[in-house]
Amino acid sequence: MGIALGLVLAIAIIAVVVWPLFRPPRTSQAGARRRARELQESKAEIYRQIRQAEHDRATGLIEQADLEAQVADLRIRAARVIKQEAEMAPGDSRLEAEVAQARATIQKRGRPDQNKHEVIQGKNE
Amino acid sequence: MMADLGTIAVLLGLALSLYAAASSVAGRLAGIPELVVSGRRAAYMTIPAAAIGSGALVTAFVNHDFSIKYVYEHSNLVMDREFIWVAFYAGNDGSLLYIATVYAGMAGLAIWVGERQRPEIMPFTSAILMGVLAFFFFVLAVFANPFAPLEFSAADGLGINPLLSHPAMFVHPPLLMAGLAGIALPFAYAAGALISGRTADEWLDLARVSGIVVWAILGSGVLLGAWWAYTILGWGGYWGWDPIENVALMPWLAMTAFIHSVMVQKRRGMFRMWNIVLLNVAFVLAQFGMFINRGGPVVSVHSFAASTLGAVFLSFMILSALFAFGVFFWRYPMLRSDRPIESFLSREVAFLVNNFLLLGIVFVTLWGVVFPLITEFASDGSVTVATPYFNRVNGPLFLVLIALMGIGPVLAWRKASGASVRRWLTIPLLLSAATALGLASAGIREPIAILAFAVLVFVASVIAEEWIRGTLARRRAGDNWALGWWRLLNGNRPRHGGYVVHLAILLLAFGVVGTQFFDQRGDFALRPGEAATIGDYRLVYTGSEETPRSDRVLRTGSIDVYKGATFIETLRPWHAFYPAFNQASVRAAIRSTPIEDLYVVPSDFLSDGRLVLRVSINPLAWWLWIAGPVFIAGTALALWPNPATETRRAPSPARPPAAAGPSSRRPVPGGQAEPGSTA
Amino acid sequence: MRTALLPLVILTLATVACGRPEPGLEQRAQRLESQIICPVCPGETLDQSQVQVARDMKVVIRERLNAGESEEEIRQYFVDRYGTRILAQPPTSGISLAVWLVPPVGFAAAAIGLYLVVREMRRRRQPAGTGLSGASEAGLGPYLKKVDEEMSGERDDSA
Repeated sequence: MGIALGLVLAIAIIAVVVWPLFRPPRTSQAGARRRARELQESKAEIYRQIRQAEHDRATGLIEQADLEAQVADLRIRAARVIKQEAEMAPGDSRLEAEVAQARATIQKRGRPDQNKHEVIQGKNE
Repeated sequence: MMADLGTIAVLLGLALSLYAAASSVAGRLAGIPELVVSGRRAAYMTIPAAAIGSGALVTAFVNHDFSIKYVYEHSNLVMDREFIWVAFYAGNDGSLLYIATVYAGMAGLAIWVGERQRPEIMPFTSAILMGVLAFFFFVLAVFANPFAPLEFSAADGLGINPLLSHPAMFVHPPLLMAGLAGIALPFAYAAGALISGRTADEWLDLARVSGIVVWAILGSGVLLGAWWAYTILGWGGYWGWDPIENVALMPWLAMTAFIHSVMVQKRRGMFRMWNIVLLNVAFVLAQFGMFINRGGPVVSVHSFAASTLGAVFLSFMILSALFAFGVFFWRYPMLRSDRPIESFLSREVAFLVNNFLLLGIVFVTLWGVVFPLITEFASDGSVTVATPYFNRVNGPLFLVLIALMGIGPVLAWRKASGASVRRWLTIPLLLSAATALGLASAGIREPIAILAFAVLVFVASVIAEEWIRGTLARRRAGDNWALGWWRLLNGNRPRHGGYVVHLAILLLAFGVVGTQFFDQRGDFALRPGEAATIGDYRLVYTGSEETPRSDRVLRTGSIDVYKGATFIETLRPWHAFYPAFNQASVRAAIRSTPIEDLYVVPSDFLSDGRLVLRVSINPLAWWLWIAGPVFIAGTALALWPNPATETRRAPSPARPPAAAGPSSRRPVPGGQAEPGSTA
Repeated sequence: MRTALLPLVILTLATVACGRPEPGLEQRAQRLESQIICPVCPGETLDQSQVQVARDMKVVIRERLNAGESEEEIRQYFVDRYGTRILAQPPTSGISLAVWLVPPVGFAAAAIGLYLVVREMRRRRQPAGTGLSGASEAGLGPYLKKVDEEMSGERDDSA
């Protein structure tokens, strides 16, 4: 009885394991999506570090000069991530760079007003 | 019937784990994805195989199937039914089956999560995970079969070891064994990444999170073991530096070093090689722990008796070490990072010193564990290395380590300025000096205890200062006190979860210092009606009653406790003698308050009617056990997933970005969609 | 730095000044109990052990203390009868001196090693560390702009 039950179990499990060998593997687009998510996450992590550095400055843990050095470094790392993001979407990257360039020249003329970008999303944190 | 089913399940588990390891590697190397998928399925299928094996054994226990030797040896008809769960892992064979089962579940989860985050490293990672599992199944199938039949027929079993009839036994051994086995998880992520040639930070988050989880499991297991010892071993202590305790503590300390040092890699991209070394060390120490547990050559109060598995586990430990460090040195040239340390006064260096101290404690403890073996071989007179050695050598190291918990957080990354360190440390140092003066003038005459309390106050006030200053900064941004503090914690959960864990360590240290330096104890032999005095307490032995039980002589003493002249309460410790085991099991009666525990344990009921009582006053012992929940809460806070990265999704092209969920980023003014959304 | 050192000085003085009283007979007995291993129960000291042998040995300790023997003499008495393994901590002589010497020596060596490693890692700074921001900023201009925008969005988000 126990042996019979065990054999049934073994056959069922072996069937599950062997099944994929007789089927062509699904090709998925998961790789690109995952890469995009990774970039998103590493960017979010860098932003967290920038905020943490600003917080450390506010509590007096670090000096102004150190804050600026840290943030400068972190900004470059974030920019590299954004550049990678842009490069992942071919077509768009050149366009985006051009638009950004154009905006940069506009902003050189007038002082950029951060507040004019109204906040759409709710406060969720 | 259950024996057959269980044996088939174990053999199936062995075949599945071997196949999973082999086909993952072969599929990956030969470029046959079908084989990798099949191997992954085999890895998942080890979970039902192991679970059915465990289920068969538990069912055999429930049905009192004494035709199975293991059931015969570890249970009987009269035992309390709930302890069947304990009997399941009370012996060598069953505990290995338990380990295989819980480890199969953890490994399956690790593979499932890893597959979603880093599939490129997973074939090798799951091969390593399954290799370890195959070892457990191999030992079960060949050396320690829990389903082996009993050679003769028996109407009743031998019963469970009386010392195991304790509530802590439902959780302490399972957590400890799961924690020790689970250290393979972060190790497998790191080693799998190295073999795959992914030597950057691919393994980092997976190893960090899984590392913290198994570290918390192992830590809780150790603490619960201390609580068990406190209430049942009957000497009023909770930690005896016994080899078995030490071999569980050492991997925990190595993992503590890892989860600190990994932050440097996450934040600064440094210490890559070092973090791999730490994982290797922790993994090998965990194997060492299992080796000592299973018939290793050192004497201990709670190793599995008469186990012949020592050589098997020793071989596996040596293989693990060769494999771990072999992979490391093979990939060593790819692991170099050229990020510099900018200053001695920086958090990076603080973490290095932390690692140095933690590994120092590991080394000293290991030295104490193996030294008796060395002398055994080297000279005729062997020596014992016990509590006094460990207290004297490790005590100062722990104190310095705790002091460092107050210094590290105020050092900035890269380089801290002397001025800000001074600004931050002035108040904590003043508070700690005030504590020392206060204690000294209150008549405390233990210099080391005073120093220790001062250090605890110092660290606690640094953490408080972090929270007060942080909340003040948030208040300037417009939050009220409570909201500001909550947002502060929420804004960087790993960091503040870490502080909460530090608080738990402080609570633990508070209890340790109190019980180590200020305990009082006495042994008394009392007739009914006689009284004993200890400290401010007067204990009157009023009598005992005997409860008839078939497997033991259970006597409960009644002791009225007076403080001065006022009656406080009646304590009822019990003493049970099990003739079948020729062993007594006692349960202390403890009157626990935050100030001190009054701990009463009946050592023996003498034939002349006297009761031998061990009484001790353990100041601050209450705080030891409070540390546990705080430790868990801190770990949970640190691990709580970050909604900012979890829920944020790129808006789908079909919908306008503005409607794309609450936490998506604001599109840039130019109107183009967020980068990544076009992928 | 002086303001920070002052409390430390006070702390040290306070702990040193308070001293310790002379221990009584019972305290000396209990100290011995924690230094001597019970001969029949592996790894447990007398004060941890619950067996009859340990209780008898505790009585012996008290009798001998009462008779005026020193703690060292009592330890020696047990060593003569049971060998050095009866002591919970190895003696500081002969081969077991190593158990006491290796930790501090190893520590000192490791500390020096750690210092040298950190100093080496600090040296690396000069060539590598400085040029980072200037050199790699080229070509990142538009992306840096975007960083600032996203950061300001984050701030609106979390405030």
